[in-house]
Amino acid sequence: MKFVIAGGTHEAEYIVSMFHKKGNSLVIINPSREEAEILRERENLSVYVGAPWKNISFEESGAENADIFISLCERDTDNYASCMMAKNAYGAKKCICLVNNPNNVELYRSLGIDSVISSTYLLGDSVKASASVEDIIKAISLENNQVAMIEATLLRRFRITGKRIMDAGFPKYASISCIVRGDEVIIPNGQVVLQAKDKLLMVCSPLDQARLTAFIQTRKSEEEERLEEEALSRLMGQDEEPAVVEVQKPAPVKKAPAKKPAAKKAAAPKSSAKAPAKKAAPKKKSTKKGE
Amino acid sequence: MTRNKTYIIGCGRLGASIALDAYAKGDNVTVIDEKEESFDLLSESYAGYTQVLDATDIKTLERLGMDSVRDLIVTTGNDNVNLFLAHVADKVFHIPHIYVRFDDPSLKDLIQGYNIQGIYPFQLSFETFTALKKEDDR
Repeated sequence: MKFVIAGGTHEAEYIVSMFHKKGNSLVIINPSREEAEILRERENLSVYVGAPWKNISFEESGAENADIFISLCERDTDNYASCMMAKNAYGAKKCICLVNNPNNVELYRSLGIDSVISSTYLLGDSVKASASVEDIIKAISLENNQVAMIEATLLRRFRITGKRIMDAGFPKYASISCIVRGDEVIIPNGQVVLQAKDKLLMVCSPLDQARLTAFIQTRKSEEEERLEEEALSRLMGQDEEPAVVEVQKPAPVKKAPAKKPAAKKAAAPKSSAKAPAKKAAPKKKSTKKGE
Repeated sequence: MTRNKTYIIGCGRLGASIALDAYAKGDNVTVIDEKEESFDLLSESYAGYTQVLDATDIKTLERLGMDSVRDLIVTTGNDNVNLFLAHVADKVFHIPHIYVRFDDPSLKDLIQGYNIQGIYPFQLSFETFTALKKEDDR
């Protein structure tokens, strides 16, 4: 692939380092002598110093027939002119340009530039996307809005939290690219158990964005929530409600009360799932103990 | 809407002269420039409209009511701005007569296929010189 990178400072350095590898040929044009010097030193590449919208720059730097022409100049109109020159006079296949004014994104596209990027525009897009859901969901769009990347932080109350990915019923129209858990990055497989506070990075079509976020945010049913609460309390070795009962009884026997409620609690959810049953259980305990 | 206005973007020496001339002929003229001082180049006899604004923003252009413009003359000091404005005037606003000044004659290639006419000072100077020289050598 032949890349031409025109103008820019840090962005140019980043893009140059990204594509500077075997199989790619890079032509770098920069109007600033200082910036050209930096690029030359960092990447050990020759840099043509000149204005990327001038035909002499194209001819002297050998920027003709690029597969991808990327224009990163400061002024929007300079990027526009550079892309027009690349595309219409020097056979560039694809032109990408950066703009500062977000109003120019649609306009430049309609005037024939293949891809127009504005950080303000992307920011606006993601604000729009996140305002419609909750702030735990972030979204950006890639490839001219053909791909949406969604970041969602899992809350305990979400239905999929605590499940293995293979059991979560994850929809086919989206895929989890990776999971960020604290400092760890997990490349997911079916066995990975989703945990609260996990950040899921997912890709899908922008059309499916709304139903994907709805899926992620589906809450656990009351029953599921209660089951989980109980499982958790079993792990902790105590429960809020029976605790009252235990407080009344701890003195006489030490080990018995701790074991008995635990066994009954474990049995309760299996036999009946309704809330009243749960309340009934501790009552029975207290009567038994009283006898 | 009837197209009967003349807009001139860029009030340099050329823009100001064209504005004055069009105004004297009785056209409905508006001169646009991003700097107020630029209008100093317009002589006292000009009583047409002036607007201080940055014409490279599409929202600004839309507010200017470009659909009532018949003649647009683009003469800012920056070729890239001129190229962009001329393209927008043709492709977005479909202005029937667009004239644009380019210092770099190679920009000629970039208005091919558009309904835009270019003015190239370099070319004009060169032609004038060649003609003068020819006259002298005779």
